[in-house]
Amino acid sequence: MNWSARGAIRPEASAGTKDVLTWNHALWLGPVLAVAGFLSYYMFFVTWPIFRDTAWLNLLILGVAGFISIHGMRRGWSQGLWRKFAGVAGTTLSVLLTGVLTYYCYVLSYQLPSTDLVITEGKPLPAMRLEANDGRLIDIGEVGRDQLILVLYRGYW
Amino acid sequence: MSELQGLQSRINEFRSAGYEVMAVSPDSMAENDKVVQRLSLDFPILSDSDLEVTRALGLLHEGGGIEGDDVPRPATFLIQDGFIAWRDLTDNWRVRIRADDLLEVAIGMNRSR
Repeated sequence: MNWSARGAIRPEASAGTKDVLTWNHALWLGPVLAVAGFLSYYMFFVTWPIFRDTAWLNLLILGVAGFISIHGMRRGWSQGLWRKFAGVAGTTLSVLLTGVLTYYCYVLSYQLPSTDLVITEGKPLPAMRLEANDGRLIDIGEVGRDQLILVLYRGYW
Repeated sequence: MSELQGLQSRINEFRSAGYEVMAVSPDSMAENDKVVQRLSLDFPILSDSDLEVTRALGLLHEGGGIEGDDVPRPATFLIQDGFIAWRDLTDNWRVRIRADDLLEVAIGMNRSR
């Protein structure tokens, strides 16, 4: 515990604010919430389209985390060198994670090859035999002679 | 709910509308079987491990995988009488057509109505 930092906030506390706590909870709460908001997208929310498609919930959590981090940094500014440093580090982490998730969802996810080469409506489905998960050999051309929903899937979810 | 779970949740509706449902992934047969078991799918996942079908459909996304491997661009096709009757190509690989929307298209195009 840094006693000089405690001393530094006393005038503020005696000036009528309720802020008599020497702990600056926003300093750790902001970055912890940012990490949770970031990781929970990939570990949890990515499963449901409503959360996955725009990542609105995770970006909202990251926004709140950034707000708390900045609040902690501003309060910590006059609470000694360690808290000043923690505030800057926490805010940097929150902003960085928000940037990475935004980049992933709104830039990286759109990086797909041109659709020019993709087979168009009216073209025949080529006859090709593929091994199903149960070991059967299935000719998609054969199945497609009737009505078929064919989903090209790249794994992950 | 993932894309495949979404299809599974509507599988009876797709079947009663006269459609078979199949997924194609670049993973091995064993990997695909794990997914089928884990998600309790009752439609098959076919293994396109050499990306032959992916290339034939013009869907190759070079270096698009998590580890920089080649993968298909995500796509959904509705096939009738051996021809591509309808397709959905997302412009964002995290975003796939929802099963309910696909079902609506499938029912609307069902030739045996």
